[in-house]
Amino acid sequence: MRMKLQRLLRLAPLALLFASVASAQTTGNIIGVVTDAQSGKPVVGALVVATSPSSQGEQTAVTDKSGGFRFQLLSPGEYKLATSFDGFKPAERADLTVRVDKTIRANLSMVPDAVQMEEQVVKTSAAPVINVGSAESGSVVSREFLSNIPVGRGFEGVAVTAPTAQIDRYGISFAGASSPENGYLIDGMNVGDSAYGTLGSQIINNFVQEIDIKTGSFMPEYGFSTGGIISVVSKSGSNEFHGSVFANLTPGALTADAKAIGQDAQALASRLLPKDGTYSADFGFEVGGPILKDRLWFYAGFAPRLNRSTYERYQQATNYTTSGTGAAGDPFVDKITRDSSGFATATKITGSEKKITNKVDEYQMIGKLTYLFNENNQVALSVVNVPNTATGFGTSNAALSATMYDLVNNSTDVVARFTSKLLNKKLQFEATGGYHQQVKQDNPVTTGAIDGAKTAQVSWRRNHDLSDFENLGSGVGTLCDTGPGGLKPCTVTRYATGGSGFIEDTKLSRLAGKLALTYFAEAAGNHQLKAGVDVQKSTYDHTKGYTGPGAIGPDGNYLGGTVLYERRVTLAASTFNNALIAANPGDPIWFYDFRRYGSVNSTRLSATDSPDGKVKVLSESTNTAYYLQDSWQPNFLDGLTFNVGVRWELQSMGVPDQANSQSLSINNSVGPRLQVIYDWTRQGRSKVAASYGRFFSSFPLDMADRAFGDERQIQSYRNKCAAVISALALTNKDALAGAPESCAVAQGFFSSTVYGRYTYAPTGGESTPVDPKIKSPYVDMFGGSAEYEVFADFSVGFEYQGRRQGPVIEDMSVDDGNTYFISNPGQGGKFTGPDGTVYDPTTAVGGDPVTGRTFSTPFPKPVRSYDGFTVLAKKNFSNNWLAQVSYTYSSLRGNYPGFFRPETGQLDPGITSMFDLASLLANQSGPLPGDVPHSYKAYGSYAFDFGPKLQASAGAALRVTSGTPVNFLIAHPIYGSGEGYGLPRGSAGRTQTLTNFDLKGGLAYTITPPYQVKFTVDVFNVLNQQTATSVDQNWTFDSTQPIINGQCSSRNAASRTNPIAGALADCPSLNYMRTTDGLPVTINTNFAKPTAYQTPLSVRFGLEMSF
Amino acid sequence: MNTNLTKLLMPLAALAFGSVACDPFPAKPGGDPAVVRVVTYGGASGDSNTVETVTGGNTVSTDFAQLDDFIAVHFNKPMDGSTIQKYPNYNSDGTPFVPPVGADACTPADGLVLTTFPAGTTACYNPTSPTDGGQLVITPGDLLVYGTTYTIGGTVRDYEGKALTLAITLTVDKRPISFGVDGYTTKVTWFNSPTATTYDVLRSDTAAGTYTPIATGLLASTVCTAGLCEVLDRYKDPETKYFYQVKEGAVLRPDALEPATTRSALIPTLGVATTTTPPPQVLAGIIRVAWGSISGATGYSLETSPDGTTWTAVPTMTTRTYYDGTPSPGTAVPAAAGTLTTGATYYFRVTPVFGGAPVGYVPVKGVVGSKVAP
Repeated sequence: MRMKLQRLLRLAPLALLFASVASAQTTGNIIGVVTDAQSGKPVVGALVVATSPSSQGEQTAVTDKSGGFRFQLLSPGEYKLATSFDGFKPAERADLTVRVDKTIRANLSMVPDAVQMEEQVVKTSAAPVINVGSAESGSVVSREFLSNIPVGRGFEGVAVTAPTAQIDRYGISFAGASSPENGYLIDGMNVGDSAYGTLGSQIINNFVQEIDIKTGSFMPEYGFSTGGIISVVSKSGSNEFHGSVFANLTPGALTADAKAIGQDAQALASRLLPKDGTYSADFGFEVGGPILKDRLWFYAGFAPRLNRSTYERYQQATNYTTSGTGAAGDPFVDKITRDSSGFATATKITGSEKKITNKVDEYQMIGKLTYLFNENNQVALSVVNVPNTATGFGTSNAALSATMYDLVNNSTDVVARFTSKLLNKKLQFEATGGYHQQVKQDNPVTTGAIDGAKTAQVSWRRNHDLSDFENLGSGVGTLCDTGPGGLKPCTVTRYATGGSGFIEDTKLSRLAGKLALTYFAEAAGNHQLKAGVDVQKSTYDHTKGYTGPGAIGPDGNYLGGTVLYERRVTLAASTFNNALIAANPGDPIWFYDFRRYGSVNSTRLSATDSPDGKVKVLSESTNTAYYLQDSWQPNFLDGLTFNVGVRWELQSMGVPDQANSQSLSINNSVGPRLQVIYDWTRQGRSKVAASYGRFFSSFPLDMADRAFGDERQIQSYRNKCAAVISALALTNKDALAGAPESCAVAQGFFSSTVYGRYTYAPTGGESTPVDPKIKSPYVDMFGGSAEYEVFADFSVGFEYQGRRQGPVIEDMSVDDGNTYFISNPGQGGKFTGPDGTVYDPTTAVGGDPVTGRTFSTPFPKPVRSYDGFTVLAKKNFSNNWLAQVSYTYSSLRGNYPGFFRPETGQLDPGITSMFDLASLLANQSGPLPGDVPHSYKAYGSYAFDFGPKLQASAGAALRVTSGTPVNFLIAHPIYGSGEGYGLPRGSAGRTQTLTNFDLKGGLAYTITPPYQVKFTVDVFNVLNQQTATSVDQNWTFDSTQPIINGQCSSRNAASRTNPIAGALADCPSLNYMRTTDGLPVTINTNFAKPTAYQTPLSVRFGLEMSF
Repeated sequence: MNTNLTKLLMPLAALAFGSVACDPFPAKPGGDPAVVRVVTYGGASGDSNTVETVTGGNTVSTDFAQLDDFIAVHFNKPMDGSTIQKYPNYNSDGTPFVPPVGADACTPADGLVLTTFPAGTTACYNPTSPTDGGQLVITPGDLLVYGTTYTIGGTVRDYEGKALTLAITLTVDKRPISFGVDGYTTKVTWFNSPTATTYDVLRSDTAAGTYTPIATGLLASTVCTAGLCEVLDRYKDPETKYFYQVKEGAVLRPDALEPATTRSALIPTLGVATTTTPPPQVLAGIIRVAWGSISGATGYSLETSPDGTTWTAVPTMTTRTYYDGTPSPGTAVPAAAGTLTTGATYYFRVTPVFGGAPVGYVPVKGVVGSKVAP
């Protein structure tokens, strides 16, 4: 009989099946059919009941004429299905795991009463795990994964586990996009930073139920993103009280010493003292349970997070030797003593050490209520608040007064969600509303006698003896005495004194709402039609300025603080006022005062309006999206699903309360989405899929703030101010910083037919004109995949993802920086700005620094082409183990890296310097910074049972990724260091391959169910590999002419022992590279040397008592 | 193999063999090397009449006036600098290369043949030009000689080893006279002739008019330096054109007549200071100085004086209006030079500036007016 039952189950034919893309960004779905195990025919009218600890009450469905049933809007978790029908024995399956925004198929077979069998309840085989409802790319991080795999404490970092995910400067990027292009969702609402697009709210993993990572090709209900989607669902309560008290500690005492980052010619250094009060800790509790059983649940959590990093800041003297003669006639004998990496070695000056502790205090708070009116109507409300304060110092190359910081960042999210099922569950209604807020304060720090707010910052740009700025340590002796050939062992460059410099206060807010209707219909198969609207209204209240005393300008306007840049006189004295003639050209007699916000002929900066000289800009953006999508399972082929949809996005952005401000309005973003999925097993255990979609960029408000917000500044040259600073002795830097106005303006710039000559000259425009016919920027994503469940909970597959960049929006200048406009580089048409100026986004005009010839060159079309092949095997947690292994081969080429410039870190989405000037366009094409050809990722864990009370677990994470491209960066005469490409992008090779290997062990003891104590140890970077994660890509800091299409025999310079010599050998054009003045360039001795290493081995202990 | 196929096969190959990723888009400009243009300059340094001469092609035969800065030969692709410039800029370890005593880093490479150029002529390889490949920059180091033909020959190579034989011929055979106008002075310059010992300079008010000597028997050894001869014709009338000829000894140089349409010297005019002209928001305490436009001027240099004798310059302006004095509170007009004493007389003079820095600027005339401060 038992054999007969098995045969019956094997033979059970499949009735019409359907898949679904259903819904929603915080729930999942189960679909399936109920069949007669004996005949294989569908059972019509059977009652199917879904229950789960994660779900309030029961969800019920009745099978249709095809025997099909579906459960939508299920909270993620473990589910059990049970079915019953007259004439059949009851059937059930209890091993179903519902994931966020995923659809699994769970068929049921019922044995007729007439069949004799030993078991009265039919149980089917293990549930399938493949998401047969969609062709999107990505992965889901489950609670089991978070508990057993060594990962960080925040959810964003966990996203790197997904195939195609990589770490970039501002977060996790997917499939070649930049991380600020991502969408970040908590409980379905956007928690991205409204100003820059980065993650705006972070919650620790203890509060996370599940993380859904979409790396591409998502359906129309998702949008405003050309990257990926990281969607977090927070925990909810249940019918039983559950919770935990937890603590985690990463003691500095068990952290390996970090490699020091060397840098030539710097007499100041700092190093982390891991064993001297350095630690990272969090502790807290979380609890959830019923207020009213099956009706009202609550969940709450609180967890302070503390980070302390103690650094030692100290002075040092470069070591040199007096021996050695060098080649005959060669005066460039390097007498500096260098280590094996080529860095100059140095001796610490005793008595100069100073300990500084950087502190971060954060308090994580979360609360959630879930109320079930009835089986068809539910409402949920969640609140997340994360206040954060950070104090410390930023760089060693500055007086403490100029580098200490005091930052406050408070994020708050409120999300309310209502779901309803109508018309006998044929119609679903979802409404979600939310509010996201980030408040950031940058407080000037008073250090010693220096009032950080009232003191300007002075940036000393030339090489100076450290003793010009600081008293040397008591042990200096003769260490700083001038060495052979005039070598000065204790010099600093770019030292800063004075106050805090740039400061800003920010308030970001977003009010968002979503409405969606889903209707289930039948027409040539099953249809799931979904239509929705998504509206977000964001504001960016930004007050920015520079520290320092203000001055009353020539027209009575109040001019705020500034940063004074030391500048060497290099121009002929006769060109300037007599006051500027230097006795010795090269003496530091100027200070370039060009960081003052303001204008010389407006009343915007009046003393009354802005007594501290700050600029306040209130910008706004409205994003609206309408979408319509259909998931159709045609009746002509079982297992086939078409997902078709379209999304129309609109965005308007501007500074409405500012007169004559420009704005950006995009309303032609209509993106189709197409997916085809076929489950050849028709059991939910296989999938072959293809997809295409067009995805549009949504720009954060930084563009409005900076381009439309009247970011005018004024500039002047100030005299050396001999009364305050003697030219060479530089005896009193703080006096200059405290009273820059006491140093007379030596060179004004501005003259006009109306106003004559001013003390200050204006820079920057009032508001950047926008091409009225600007095209929507988009990315086309396409791909295909196949996946097969080899055995229960284990599937293998492969996937191809392709992305092609369409138009982008950027600011440009056709006159080498005199005026700017915003359009589509290389693709927009000529237009006339509000001032009558004609702008042409197709042709840039510049000047040849050698011949002086004016040249024109086309603005290039943006290119960003990603192709990635992934093979993947994953095993969901069952039978005590889980695993996820992937290998991705990818290529990312082009000239447009995304929303920020990785080489300089400039995060100004839509207004970076990428297309600004003709002279910046050379050599931009090549492997983009996110190009990582090989990426291996392996994660796995196993749980050991030692009886009913004691369990142990072991987990491991291995991530091996190729290095990233290294460039020959050069300085631009206007924009400064790192802005130009001396040779085609990526010509210097790659950084080294990175290997991250982490382990986790756990020991759990059950006191008495459900009380359990668990002790965990995470060891990160077990091999203590401290490979360089980034290198200095500046070939020279001179203003230099790029070598257009320069060739290299190989691209390996960055990985050579002596990168400079290797580069000169590989790329012989570099031997002849010249500055804009026609001189040989000065090669940066730190080129291709590490600027950051992997975090060294560290150990995190965790203790948790759960119930 | 086409690019698309390469792009497809590379990942597959990597999958199959685990090989290191290759770059399917190498930045290697193909094709044969060629000269796309030769850029020369006419006119003396600081002369407002500097004119760029652009010619194209590898085999170039052109006439030009003089070369006091450099000749730039633009290639269509980056070249092997070692075939152009004898010494690299760096030693193999990246430290700057110091050429042997007496040599220059830009000593022409052995394969580059510069014929007739003066000794010491340098040839630098500059590996970029804004829209093309590299460029050969020849700096004669001195003015070239009128009547002489210079050739740039030899064989250079690109980085793929492809040879390019240069055949560029340049002859200094035109425009021996050049005019510069600075303020109220005409600067007449010409190339020294290898055969001349004295010169006469003549002037006329019209191109075809009567030329009257303004200087005769000028010793070449006195008025000529480094191959360039120069005299100043001062105190000219505003808005008047002057035409010049130069005689070598007593013989009129046949090509010495400057085309009148563009090369004559136009002396500028000035306006008169006033306190009453618009804009009306100018209030008491201000003197406004305005002057007319000067053709070809790129800026104006104004000087102020309390006595008509001691002059103080303000920075070069591109506009033609200047305010002096301290504005009354509330006015939109800012202060410029400082406080004016009521009832005192102030003097102003202005000179046009042509081109860049006013080298050779001689403000010898032009007290255009004085005004009593309000």
